[in-house]
Formats: sequence, C-alpha cells, structure tokens
Amino acid sequence: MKNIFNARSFLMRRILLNAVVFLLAALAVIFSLSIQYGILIGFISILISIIIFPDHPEKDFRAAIIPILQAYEDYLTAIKNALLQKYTDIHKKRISVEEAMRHSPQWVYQLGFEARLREGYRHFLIRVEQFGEALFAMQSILHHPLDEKFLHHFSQEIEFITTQNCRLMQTLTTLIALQKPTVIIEDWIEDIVALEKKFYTYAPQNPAAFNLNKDNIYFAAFIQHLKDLREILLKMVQSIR
Amino acid sequence: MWKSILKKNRHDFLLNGLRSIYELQKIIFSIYLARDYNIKHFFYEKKLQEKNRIILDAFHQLREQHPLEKTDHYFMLEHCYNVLIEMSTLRYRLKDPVIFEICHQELLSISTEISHIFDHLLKKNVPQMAYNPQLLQENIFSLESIYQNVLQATLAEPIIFLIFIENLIALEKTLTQLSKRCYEKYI
Repeated sequence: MKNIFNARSFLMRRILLNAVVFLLAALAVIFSLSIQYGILIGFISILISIIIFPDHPEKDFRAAIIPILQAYEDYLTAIKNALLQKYTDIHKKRISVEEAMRHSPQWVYQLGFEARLREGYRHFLIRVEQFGEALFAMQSILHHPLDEKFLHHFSQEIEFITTQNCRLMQTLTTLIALQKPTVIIEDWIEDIVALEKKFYTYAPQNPAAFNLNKDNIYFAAFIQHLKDLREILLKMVQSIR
Repeated sequence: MWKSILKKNRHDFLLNGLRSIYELQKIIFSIYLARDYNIKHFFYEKKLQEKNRIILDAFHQLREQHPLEKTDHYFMLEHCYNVLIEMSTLRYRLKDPVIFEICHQELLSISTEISHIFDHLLKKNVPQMAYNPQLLQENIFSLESIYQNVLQATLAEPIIFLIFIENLIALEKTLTQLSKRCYEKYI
C-alpha cells in the first residue's frame, strides 16, 4: 500500500484516481442523485489528487539527481588522484556512485509522466547517465598504469581541469537546488585545449610511432573523457539556466 | 535446510552479472551495426540505461551477499563493464554513421565472436576447455587494418577510433582471462 503512495507509478495513480471517480459517478447514476452530488464527486476527486496522490516531479527529480552529482564529484577527484598515483580509496567512491545511480529517477521514462516535463527531464537524465559512463570509462584507463615521468609533465593541467570540473558540478548542483551560484568562471574551454596542445607536443607526430607506445593512446583517451565531461556539464548547466 | 538450498551462492550472482554484461554488449554493437543512433537516440539511451541498472543491481547483490569474497572475478567483471562502457562512448563521439558502414563486416564478426565467448562462459556445465580467442584477435586485427589503411586518413579525429580498437583488445584480454579462470576453477 505504501508503494502506491510513494512510488513514481504515474500510470497506477491515474488508473486508481479514475477508478475512484468512476465508482462515485456510477453510484450517483445508480441512485439518481442530483447535480450537487456531481459537483461533490468532482470536488472529492480533486482532493484525492492533491492530498492522497500528490505529484511533485520537480521536487522528486531534484532530490534524486543531487546525490548522484555529489557522488560523481568525489569519484572524479578519486580518479584524478589514482591517475597521479596519489593515495585514494577509489573503490569506495565507485560504490557510492553505483548506489546513487541505482536510485536514479527512471520514472521519467514511465507512461503517464507529465507531457510538458517529459522531454526535458529525459534529456537531462540521459546527460547525467552519460557523465557516469564517462567516469567509469576513465577508471578502465587506470588499469593500465601510465609512466610517472610522462604524467609529471601534465599533472598541473590535470589538477586544474579536475578542479574546474568539480566547480562546474557544484554550480550545477546549486542551480538544481534552486539557489544562486556563487562561483563565476569566465572560460570553460581553454584549459582542456591547452592540455591537448601540450600533449601533442610531447607525443610523436608520426601515427605509427604514436601507436607504438600505449601510454600515448591511454592518455589521449583520458583527455577525450575530460573533454566529454566538460561538454556534458556545460550542456546540463545550459539546459537549466 | 531450505534456506541453504534456496539461498543463491556466489556463483549464481557472478553468472547474473556476466549475463547482464552480455546483454549490454549486444545493445552496444547493435547501435554500431544498425547505424541509426542519430534517429533513434532516445530509444537506445533508454535501453542502455535499463541494462546499466540491471548490471549495477547485480554488482550490488554480489557485494551485499558476499562482502568478504571480493575476488579477482568481481574486479574482472567490473573491468569488463568499464571497458564496454568506454566502447559505447563512440556512439556520441563519432557523428558520421558512414564510418560504421565501412567496417560493418568486421564489427559484425567481432560482435559474433564476443557473443560466442559469453555463451561459453555462461554454459551450465563445466567448460571442457578455455575459449580460444584466436578468431576474435584476427577480426580485431582486420578492423585495425581498415583503420590504418582507410579511416586514419578520413576521420576528423582518428584517435577516437584508435581508442575504440584498444578497448576491443582490452575486452578480448579480460574475457580470455575470465574464460581461463572458469576452466581452471569453475566459478
């Protein structure tokens, strides 16, 4: 019974509400009740809709998304620390992300979800899921430890980009919580462009030579994921504003 | 007595996770073989999310039921999942579906071979031998040849496809390791 009131089963709510209204209307017809009773039935159905089966998709969506984004932020920092060979409990952060994603608001895909909200919410959720996928993919790169001297050239840039991504995530979380963001950053692209340029000055230009060293390929993959993360975050912030 | 019979063991949960990962790889390859991601974008994303949800639930069950037994199998499954997820990123990075048309046959062969490996791993009886990955390696090598001879010059960002090929190699190694473990000690 509790699940009917708490679960995001829009179709079930609509069916139950319509069943109650139909039953009351049927009783009115059977007992040949007057128009006042018809008005009373309408009033009761409105009360049921507001009190017993209330719909607050905006609030529920925000409440579901914010913990996911917070888990993502910790996980991203842990991945960066693991890449730069600093101590981190990446497995614990990974479990937090998995647990948060298990409770993501999949009800936006259900039949009966409000038509005016449907497209926007679904696209936003797709972006959130893609962000999580990019983070999992970054962890797969850690399976191939990169050369410490090679990484040392780029550690400052990686630290800076990760910090910027975390700040952007905090801005996004603040916007979702309907508060005014305090962080204002002018440039969201130049840091990653600079890292890419620096990488290609160190990596060989000849494709055959580039492909010989796996470190080049895996680090290029890492940069690609950083780009994806930034692009997804900017699209999410843009969709909210 | 009934509780011990009905209670699922670690083997069942591992198979459950493996089965979910198998379903995920089928969807990922169907996106690249059908080449209609731009049109059916929402449909594929919804399917991927459903499969991801099932896999995360399987991992959760594995951790909840056997928290002290996080062996190599769990981490290999996790790595297999991470690699597949990385392979799936090509769907939104590579905008031109014609690229998949060029290497359609190779992708189809690779997908078929990966499915064979999963079928072998999910067999109910003890596998008679570890799966021989030679055919899969040959198919990946064919794809790599197409990349070096054709795609490297045509693609705007060839590194994206090179990363995809590296992920295929990583997936093949992980699945081969899993298959050897199954043969050495039936999970």
